[in-house]
Amino acid sequence: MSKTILIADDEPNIVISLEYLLQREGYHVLVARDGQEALDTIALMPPDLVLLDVMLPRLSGFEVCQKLRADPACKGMRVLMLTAKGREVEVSKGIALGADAYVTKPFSTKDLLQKIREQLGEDAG
Amino acid sequence: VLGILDEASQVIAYSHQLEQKSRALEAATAELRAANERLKELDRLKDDFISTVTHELRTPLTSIRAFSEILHGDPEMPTARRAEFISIIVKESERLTRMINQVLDLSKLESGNAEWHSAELDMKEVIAEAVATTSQLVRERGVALELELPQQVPPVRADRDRLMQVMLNLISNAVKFCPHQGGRIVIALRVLPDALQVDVGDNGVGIAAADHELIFEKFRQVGDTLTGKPQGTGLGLPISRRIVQHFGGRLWVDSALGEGATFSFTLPLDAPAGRGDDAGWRSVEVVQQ
Repeated sequence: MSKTILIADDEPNIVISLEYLLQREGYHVLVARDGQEALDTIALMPPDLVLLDVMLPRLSGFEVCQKLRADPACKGMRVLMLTAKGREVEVSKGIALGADAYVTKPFSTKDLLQKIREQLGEDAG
Repeated sequence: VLGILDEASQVIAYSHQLEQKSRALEAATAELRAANERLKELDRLKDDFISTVTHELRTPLTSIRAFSEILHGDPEMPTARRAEFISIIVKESERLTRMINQVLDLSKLESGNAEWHSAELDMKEVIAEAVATTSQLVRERGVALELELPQQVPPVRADRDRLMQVMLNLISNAVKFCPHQGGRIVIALRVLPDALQVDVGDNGVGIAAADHELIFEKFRQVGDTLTGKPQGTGLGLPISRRIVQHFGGRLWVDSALGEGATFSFTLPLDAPAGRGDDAGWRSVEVVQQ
């Protein structure tokens, strides 16, 4: 069964590109445009991995990550944070809040897919 | 004995002087400390600005890179989809270019290094050209645009291109926030006793009072959740305000959530800026800040 990935980003064009890319790789894709929508979607249909942008409206990616980590129901869920702020503090903050990996925008699509496969434990195949 | 007393009073006098000096020194140190704090604050603001600019520039670049790589890796992609992706790359490249230009423009305006041309101009004519330039955008969005222009309008001295920049920005903002159906924009020009006033009103989502000043800050875009993220740069309004202020005018917004928004600016009819040479203009700007 194909794995499910939730894209949580508010930039329409970035969402379109990620959606296409992930579907092409055979993933089932969900989309949320802000932090609250991301939590709502996760509660309804828990994905295997969340591609979580840091600068989301309503609820930031950091806040979403924190809530996910505090929720036992989301224990095995992988969180890959995306940020357009290349600062070290951002990266360490994300990791400290429980993100599994971090990718800086603009990203190489190849690297991103590689990181996703790693997180989902698919890199052996 | 007298000698000793004299010496003693001298010592006392010296110690008074010393005390005064030391107090003056303390005051000077406190001033320096305050100045240092202000500089640190400015430095922090500058860092924040650079960090925000970097973030804003990375965003369109992310789309450009992702779609380029997708297209590059998938030569068999159907033509329609290929065309869609290429048009996103083009649009995001344009947005990136606009952002870079606007960041440079704003920094020139803020450092006082902007070039200004001065000419006597007819505001009615500037409005007419701005309306003509945006007519396609207005048509595409199905917006009804009305003009309320008086018969006689005294000329103002200003930089035509800069005023056009302000008008285009206000009109395209109004279009962007108009409802998808039944959008309406009213552009009014009024002659006040000492100034011209231009109003650009729309019947869009409106802006909460708390956000009225926020929208004039760099990179602040309000209304994201209601309208979807605008594809703007977040620099149009701060730039427009700078320009209007340069001519001794004001730019502000009247609005309430759900009740549309009206952006207004004034241009003084007899502003010192209208008369002086470039040096005179600079001094006006200093007063304005």
